Amino acid sequence: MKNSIRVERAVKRISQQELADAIGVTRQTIYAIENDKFVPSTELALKLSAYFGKTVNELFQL
Amino acid sequence: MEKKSYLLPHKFQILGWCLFGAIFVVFALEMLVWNTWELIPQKYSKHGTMLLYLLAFGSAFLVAFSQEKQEDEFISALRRKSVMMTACIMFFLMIAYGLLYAIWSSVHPTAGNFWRYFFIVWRFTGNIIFALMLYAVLFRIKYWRYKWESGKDEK
Repeated sequence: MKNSIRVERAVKRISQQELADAIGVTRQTIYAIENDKFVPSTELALKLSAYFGKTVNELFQL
Repeated sequence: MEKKSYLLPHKFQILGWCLFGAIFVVFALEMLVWNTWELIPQKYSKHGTMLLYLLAFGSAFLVAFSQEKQEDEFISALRRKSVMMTACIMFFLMIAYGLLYAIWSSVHPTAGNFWRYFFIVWRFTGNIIFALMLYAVLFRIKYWRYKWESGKDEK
């Protein structure tokens, strides 16, 4: 599953650590999601979409 | 949503690492400096060594089954993967030992020392303590690898 977390993060000009702190996960989790090594749960996907103000479908693509 | 965790609190991990460090120093001193077990009176040495092993396994247990400072779903996924890998490796080892013994013993029934060493290795690796240590090592490698990679990716 592809995602645009890295792009959205660059738009907001925040680091992986800042994003991780904002949604309550570790930096490794953000790294793993961005590099398609880990597919987040619905709960985490919803947190990410709320943080970036995008829908889950806009952030994650099959 | 609050999920029930069967892991120990993070402070037990710190305790486990301290214990592990202390035991490592004692083992190193015993092997490198004295080359014998002189820290404990000779008549208690067997019990002392056994106690050290138990403490070593205990510290491995504390390190392996304590929460990280921030335990999240990715770390839980790493734990699940490590358990799966441990189970696969243990099954493979058990099957390999069984097959090796069945085939090799029919070809060379009197292989002497080979079987002695073979059973020592089997006994050492074919038990739950080894599986626990293997899980702890696999999980740590994965955890540190991701920590290192994410640090590199951030730069």
